[in-house]
Amino acid sequence: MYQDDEFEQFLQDEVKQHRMYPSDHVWNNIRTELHGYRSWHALTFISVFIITALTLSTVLSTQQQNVHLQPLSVPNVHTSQQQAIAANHAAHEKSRQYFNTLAPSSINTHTIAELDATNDDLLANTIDNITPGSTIINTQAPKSSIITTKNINNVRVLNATPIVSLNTMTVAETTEALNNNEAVLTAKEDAVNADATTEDKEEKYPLITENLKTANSSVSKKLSPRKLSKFGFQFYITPSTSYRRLSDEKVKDIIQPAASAALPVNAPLNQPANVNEVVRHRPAVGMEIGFAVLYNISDRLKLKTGLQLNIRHYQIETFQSSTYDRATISLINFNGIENITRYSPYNNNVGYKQTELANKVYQLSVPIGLQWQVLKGKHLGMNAEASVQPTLNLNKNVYLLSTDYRHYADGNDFVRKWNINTNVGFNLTYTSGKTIWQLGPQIRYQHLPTFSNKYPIKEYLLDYGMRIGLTKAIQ
Amino acid sequence: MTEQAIIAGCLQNDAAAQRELYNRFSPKMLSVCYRFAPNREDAEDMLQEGFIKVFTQIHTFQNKGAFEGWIRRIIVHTCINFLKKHKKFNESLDISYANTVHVKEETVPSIMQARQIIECIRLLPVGYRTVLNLYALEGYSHKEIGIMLDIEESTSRSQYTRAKAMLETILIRKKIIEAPKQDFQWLTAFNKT
Repeated sequence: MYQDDEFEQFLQDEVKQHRMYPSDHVWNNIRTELHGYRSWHALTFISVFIITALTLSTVLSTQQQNVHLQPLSVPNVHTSQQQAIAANHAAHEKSRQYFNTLAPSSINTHTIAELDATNDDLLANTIDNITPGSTIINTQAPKSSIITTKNINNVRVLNATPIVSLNTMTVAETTEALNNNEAVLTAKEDAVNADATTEDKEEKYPLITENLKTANSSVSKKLSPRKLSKFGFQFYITPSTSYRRLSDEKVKDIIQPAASAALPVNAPLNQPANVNEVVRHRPAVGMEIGFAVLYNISDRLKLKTGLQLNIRHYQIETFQSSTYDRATISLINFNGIENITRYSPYNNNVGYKQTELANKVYQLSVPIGLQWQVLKGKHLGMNAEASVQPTLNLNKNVYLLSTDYRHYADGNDFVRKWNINTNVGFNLTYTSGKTIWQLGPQIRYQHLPTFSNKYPIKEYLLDYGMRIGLTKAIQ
Repeated sequence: MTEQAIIAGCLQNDAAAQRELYNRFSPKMLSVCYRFAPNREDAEDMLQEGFIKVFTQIHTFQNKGAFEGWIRRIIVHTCINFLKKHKKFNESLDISYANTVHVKEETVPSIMQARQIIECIRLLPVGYRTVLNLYALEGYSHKEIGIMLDIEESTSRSQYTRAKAMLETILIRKKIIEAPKQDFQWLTAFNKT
């Protein structure tokens, strides 16, 4: 194939062993061309997470406002107006006493204002027709907080603030009106009790007694505190630092014996030290951001679940070499040991300058756990929580150590997609209205190694953080 | 991974097998591309296009001959097509051009002799460089070179002769090789008599 020429032979001998190492973007472009763009799951999940959190918080806040605006009773004003007008018309029949009976609680101030002008005569006429010595209650009296009594023609008249409808009033007015209603009812009850024997009460004052019963039941329905819902929602953020622990049992049990067996008999055994003694790494700041829904199992115990985004980060200290060195990664599979070759400029031991590699992983977790209220004061308290977190690894930028402990190479292909973490924490809480602030330390531990089982060096991560959270109960 | 396992994995479009194949052969192939390309960026573009073709056409590899040789042929053809597409070919230049080439020390790194030689090859005009690469280093015949570059076989021969002379001049000036000794045997024989 080649010309028999010394010059050409010289060129071939010199050039054929030359190597050059391409930039990372070359492989990325090739991979994209073959397999399409890597969908950045993180963006999708973060967007869904934020939209879900905003939607839920908006819905729950709207429900709270609706609760506050909901009236205590919903009487039909139109009906009561008709009743008042009908009563007014009927009052012209002087023999009828119902005009002076207790009006239904559904009559409002508007109705009263309309009837005021026409009722003064009715009252006078009515009194003329009532048996002397009896007591009537003038619910058509001008609005007043004072209950007055007077005797007109030997008929005791109690002028009391009429029982008004509560549905168009403010809370303050409603409270005042309820208090007045109670006073009126008390006065009416006294009148009924004073003027009639026990047996005759209902006969003599059927409408009064009937309306008293109705009014009592309505008054008893005061502005009692609404029953709290069993649900609450929580936002939290936890700045944290990630520590890692490495285990090289598989390397010592399987990889190194196989490598030693391949050496000549007289070759010295060069057993590397424990992996934790040869690597240098330091923790870096990561974060957990989450949204949770809490369900009150009891006063102190809550079930908690939600969505959480984790950013785990630590730094590896290494050296940069001027050339791309061959890094051998021995993998263990069902066929035995399989050696993968990577080329890397990062050397664990020597190089022309020191450098740091940033190991960063983005994860999405679904924490499922319990929260126990240890101490509960008026404002301050303390709770403890624990959860199990199935975790999905999203984008990653990790380096792994070659099995001879000499080089660091790209390890993204070997990272597990799913993992399990557990979390334990204690929080100091401060309650302000319906909002609970919390602050406290958290620990999160990763149970499965970061990389797949094929890679013999096991990495376990442990995060320490300080959680800041905001909890709102739903009413 | 064995070569067969890599090929089997690539046939199934397995990303890990493709990555292994790339890691194993890309250093050598980039060196090939670098000899054809005017700069490193173009060399990486050629490499990228070449490997995409390797992965998409791997089903055509028939296990006849070395796998590396098959990849190399694809890469070389990709380099030629790249140069044609970007119109990098110049007309042939006179041999006197070699005397005007000033080899600066800093343009030819002294990392290793192989790299120096490659840099000297890259100093040649693109047409000379391509023919020299194809004939002297990749083993193509002048007939095959003529077909690939759409030139006559005789043109390929003359281009190669000029390229070789030019490269020798550069290498001698760089003191990578020594000037060939003159053949004075006839003078020695005359002196003896």
